[in-house]
Amino acid sequence: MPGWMGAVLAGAAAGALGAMGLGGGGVLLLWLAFSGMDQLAAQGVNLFFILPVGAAGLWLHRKNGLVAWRAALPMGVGGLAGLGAGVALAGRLPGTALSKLLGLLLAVVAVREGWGAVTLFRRNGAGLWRSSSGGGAE
Amino acid sequence: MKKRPFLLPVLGGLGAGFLNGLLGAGGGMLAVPLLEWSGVRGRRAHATSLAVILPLSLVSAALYWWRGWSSPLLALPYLPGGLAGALAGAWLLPRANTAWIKAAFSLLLLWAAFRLLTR
Repeated sequence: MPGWMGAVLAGAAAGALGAMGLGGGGVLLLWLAFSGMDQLAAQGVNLFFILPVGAAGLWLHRKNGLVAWRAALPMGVGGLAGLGAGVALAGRLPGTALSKLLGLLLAVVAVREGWGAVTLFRRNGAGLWRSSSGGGAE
Repeated sequence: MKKRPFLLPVLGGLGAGFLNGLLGAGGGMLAVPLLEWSGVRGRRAHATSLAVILPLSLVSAALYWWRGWSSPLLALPYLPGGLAGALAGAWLLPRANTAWIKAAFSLLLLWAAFRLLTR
């Protein structure tokens, strides 16, 4: 598979999963990690990737009145404080340590999403499409 | 809505920002449950988590660039696919039985976590 095709597919998978609220960031980071990109460079790519895709999503959600700005504010303020420490530590840890931490994070998400899948299978059944809206849409 | 203490969202945000800066991902993992805890539920929690993560990612990305670790040019090849995928995902979300997607995603992450932890 040529490199550009892999990039398009990894980007598409990350964008699709992100739009479905599944944390697309993990997929792109994985692709980059396994394709041999330096860990810090890969993390930066993931951050830059989120900006346009996330901004488009946020714009849509804002139009639909789904954004609770007042709840976001204290978390954003706390986040800006935590971020400095995170970046400083990232610069001191070796890439292998960062990728192991990423592995741990992904394991946690995997368990949570696996559990979420079980719950949804119980509720929606095992069909490929959602049956409640008439079903069978191709 | 019941009045909740202010401190926990700030502390949770601190953790989300820390992950965002340290790993370039994972802030949403903390932000969504915290928002639900503070009374913002379901789709609103996911939408609002973007409002938290986006500014954090902007600052982190700027710091990564400024330190010479990464650059927006490296991300460019992934953007066309990413935007197309985002549209596809937004279309699929109300239609597909997302249980299958979650299950496949979960297995992929388990495999990847195993590989990252054992290499």
